[in-house]
Amino acid sequence: MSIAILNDVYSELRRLAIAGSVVAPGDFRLKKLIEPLKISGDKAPIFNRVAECVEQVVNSTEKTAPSALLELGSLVGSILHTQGSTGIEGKLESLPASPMTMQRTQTSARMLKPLMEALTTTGSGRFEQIKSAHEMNLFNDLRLVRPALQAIDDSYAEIRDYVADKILPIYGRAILDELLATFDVKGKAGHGRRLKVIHKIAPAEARELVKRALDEGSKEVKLVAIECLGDSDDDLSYLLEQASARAKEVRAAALLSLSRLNAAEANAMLIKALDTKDIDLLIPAAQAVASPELIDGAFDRIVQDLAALLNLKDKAKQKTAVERLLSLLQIATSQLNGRSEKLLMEMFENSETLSAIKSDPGGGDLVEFAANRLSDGSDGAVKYLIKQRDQVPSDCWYKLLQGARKSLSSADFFKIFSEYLEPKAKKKSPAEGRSETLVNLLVDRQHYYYFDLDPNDDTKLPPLDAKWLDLAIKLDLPELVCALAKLKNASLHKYLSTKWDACSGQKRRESWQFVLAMLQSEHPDAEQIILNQVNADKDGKRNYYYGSIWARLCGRLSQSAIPELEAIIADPKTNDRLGSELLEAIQTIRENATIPN
Amino acid sequence: MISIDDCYVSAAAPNADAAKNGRALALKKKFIQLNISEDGSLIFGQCQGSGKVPYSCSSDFAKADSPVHRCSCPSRQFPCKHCIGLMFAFVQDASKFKVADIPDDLQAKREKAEARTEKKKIDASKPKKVNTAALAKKIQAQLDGLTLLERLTHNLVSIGIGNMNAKSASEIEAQAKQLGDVYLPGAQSALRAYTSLFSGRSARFDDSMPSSAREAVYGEALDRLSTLNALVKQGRQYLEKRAADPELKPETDSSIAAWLGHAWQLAELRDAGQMIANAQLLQLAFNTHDDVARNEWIDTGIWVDIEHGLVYTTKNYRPYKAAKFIKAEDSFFQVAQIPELFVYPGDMNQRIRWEGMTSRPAESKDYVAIRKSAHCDFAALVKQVKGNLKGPLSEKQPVCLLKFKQIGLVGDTFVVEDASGNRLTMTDRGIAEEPPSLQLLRLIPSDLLADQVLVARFRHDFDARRLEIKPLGMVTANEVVRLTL
Repeated sequence: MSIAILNDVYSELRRLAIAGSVVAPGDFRLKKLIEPLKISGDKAPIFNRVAECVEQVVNSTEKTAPSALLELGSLVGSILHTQGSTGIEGKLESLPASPMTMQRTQTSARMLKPLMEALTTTGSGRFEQIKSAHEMNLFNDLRLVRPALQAIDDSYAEIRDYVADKILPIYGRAILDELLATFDVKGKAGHGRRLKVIHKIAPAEARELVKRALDEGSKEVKLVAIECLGDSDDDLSYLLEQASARAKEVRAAALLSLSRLNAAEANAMLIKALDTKDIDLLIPAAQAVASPELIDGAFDRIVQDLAALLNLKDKAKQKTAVERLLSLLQIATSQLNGRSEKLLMEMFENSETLSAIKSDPGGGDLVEFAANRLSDGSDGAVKYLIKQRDQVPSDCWYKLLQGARKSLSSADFFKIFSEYLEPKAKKKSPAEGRSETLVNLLVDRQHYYYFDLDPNDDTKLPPLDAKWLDLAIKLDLPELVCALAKLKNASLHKYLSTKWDACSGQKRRESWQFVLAMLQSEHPDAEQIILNQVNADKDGKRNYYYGSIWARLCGRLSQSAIPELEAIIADPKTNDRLGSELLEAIQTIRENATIPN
Repeated sequence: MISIDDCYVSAAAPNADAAKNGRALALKKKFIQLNISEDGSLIFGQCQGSGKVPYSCSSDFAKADSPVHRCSCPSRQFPCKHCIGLMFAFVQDASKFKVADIPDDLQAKREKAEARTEKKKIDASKPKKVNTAALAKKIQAQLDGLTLLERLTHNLVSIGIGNMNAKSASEIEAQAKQLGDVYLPGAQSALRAYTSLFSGRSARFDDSMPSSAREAVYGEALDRLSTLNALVKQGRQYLEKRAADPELKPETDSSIAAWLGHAWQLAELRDAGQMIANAQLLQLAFNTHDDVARNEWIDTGIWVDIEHGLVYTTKNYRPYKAAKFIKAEDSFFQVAQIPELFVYPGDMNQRIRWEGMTSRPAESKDYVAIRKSAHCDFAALVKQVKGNLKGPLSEKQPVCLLKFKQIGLVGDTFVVEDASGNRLTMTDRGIAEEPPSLQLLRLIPSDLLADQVLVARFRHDFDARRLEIKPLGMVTANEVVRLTL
């Protein structure tokens, strides 16, 4: 069969279909193909049929041209479908052996497809999805290799870094060729990440690349290249040189790599940096590697500098000295252990003397640093702080209380801290600060004001002692009483009723906390109060913020309240927005109850 | 005895969230009571929800091929997360389910369901009366619709593909809505498949596109116009035949009835002899894609009949508006044992459906049987595929099983070769519904690249005038290695 002539017909047909059939009647180029088609038709009759169709197009009018063109298209299309070429000439080379060890491809589409989309598209919520898939070990599937490689250039920084640090190394050398093929030494940060991954999965092959990047790389790639050094002693001289470079980022990267070398000269350079303005650059190095020599150096200097600080009189000099001490402390206590906790405790013992240094930052900041760091420490460190609680600055009390909640029993926590609940403490006094911090911790505002959020199941804190509620009622702390209403108390209902009755008008609208507390403590009047309040404000003419809160409260009512809520919704005076929210509330009530099929 | 596993439960869930939430209920030990009936066919329990009263849920496997899930929760998803959680709990540790009497309400529901099934059987055996007057009216409306489709198609050809833009495509789409009103949803989709090249979310033609990219759209657009033309011609012929004889059953020799939007009932397929008894299927590939032309999500499964070696497809259509309430299908890794497999009329990769099925783990003998049915001679297979492709309304991208000798490279082109040296080139081009798979061939172990069975999708590239394949997976002696989904 003469395919060439058919291809010609198809090309002309395509041209006319693109231009529109109005130009098809009498088309000269198509007309020229009729004779050759007829000649071919002597050997294969199908060409005669094609020639007829072509003639119909050429002889068509503007009205009949579409039909004729479509006929020709269908016929030629059918024939060409049977004539598609297959195969290829040339030597068939085997594919190189894959270094990939994983073979699993049994992840379901329902899990795989959203993950592929998260890796290759944009939009919110993708990071959590990718992280959780990694934790579920889903990336051990070769179908995710390419989407993961694509995500190294994701528009969201957390995703691209996570993929480069945690996911791509899983695939090992199997992705090396792809990474090398797309790596540009003069590229931006994405190429830096590529170099980092290459170095992680194939350090030997990366060596030359790192050297090249150091010589001719862009700033971003060069910084990563410096971070990649430190595994070989040959790197030492270069890193020592870079540790004194003009660019701060380069010095930071060099110091980080030197900390990995653990060589005498490297340590000497790190210790030397403790006495320069680069001291802050050592903090990430200490957090990453914690070289013992560096930590020792920091400890020694803290002792000397603290002694010197106490003798300084000039505020500017005090400021510089405190700033330096704060950096040294971050390095020395980068890993919390007995030694660092002892240092912090010793410093805390000196809080009175240190607090006298009033520069900004001053001695108080050093004490706060010690208190905060100890709150993160061992059980012993937290117990030490609890003992010294009166010396702990008010600003550090929240962390202290958090630590105390974790390490003390419910009864001990109440016994020790209840005396600090002082609503009548002097304004702006430390006692007032401590009292407010204690209320803040007890109220747990996030779950208090967003009461329809699920409670945090992960909390492993001991429950609060019920005596807190007694005390809150006694001290007349309404917010605390409402927040602790679940603990229940004999006088709670009376207290809440009294408070509610004392409110009127707008004040009632704003005092929904009392009614929520009534609901939580199963107060017999709670439901009716809510229904009355919603009914009274159903026109939505007042501040709608509170209307919405009351509607949310309705979701906590029992099923018996549904008819009354429906009546409010049906009332033409009811505000539309309130009506919709009440409908949602009814749905919530129904979901919370059992409804037979 | 209930025979389910983790994979079965995941597949039974209506969507990923339901599966996740159900699993979480089982893991968080929210089930305060877990029971199993004495005969082991029913599991039931109580799950603590957000309300005071726990939900009573059950999964009834009295008919193992079509289990019934019941729950007292108000969820509209089916099965709900509580039933999914109950099944997960059973898969995790069946020994935790204590034998107990079936609650009265469940027993009553079981009896009612039994009575309904019996009634259905009786109703099915009764001959169905055809309302000939209504049918004639419907056929006439469809014929009028085809005239409209013809007019619209001719308008499109007159305008010319090169002069199409988003505005003209939207105008045609607005008129195409009338096709849905005259019982021609299939024709409406075919028309939208053309206009969606120029408009809508998936518009592949844009004035700012480079000319090379436009060229690719032109070829496809011309092909779709030919399809519309064939649909008008064949549809009219078919409908005129039916109008002349109202007793005539829908045609089973071709897929024209489905193209015109005929929704095949299982009873119709059974009567037409389109039913296979006791079929055993294994899924070879799966994909879910957003079909903008049809305004719905489509879950497509590629299955092979283990005994006969025929490759079928399942299609689950989930219109955007109702997607939340329709179960999304998922990959299936077990053997589906189907008492009654219904096969739609068509050529290659016919669509299949079933009402009930049980599953069992795939065994080595299954893979051996599938491998035996693969096409060893590429030349003969290519002839068969080309014969299929020439029909304007046929499946344009059929999937086949190919027994190959080697997969390798000629230059930069991936090539698969059979024992006689016949070759097919491979590509990812033009098949956007499935993720790219070609480069994965570089990552799979070498033993998968010789003397194996390839699951491949054929595609005729009109611009290159080539018939090429896209690899979807491999069938080895003990597993299906999936390269797409």
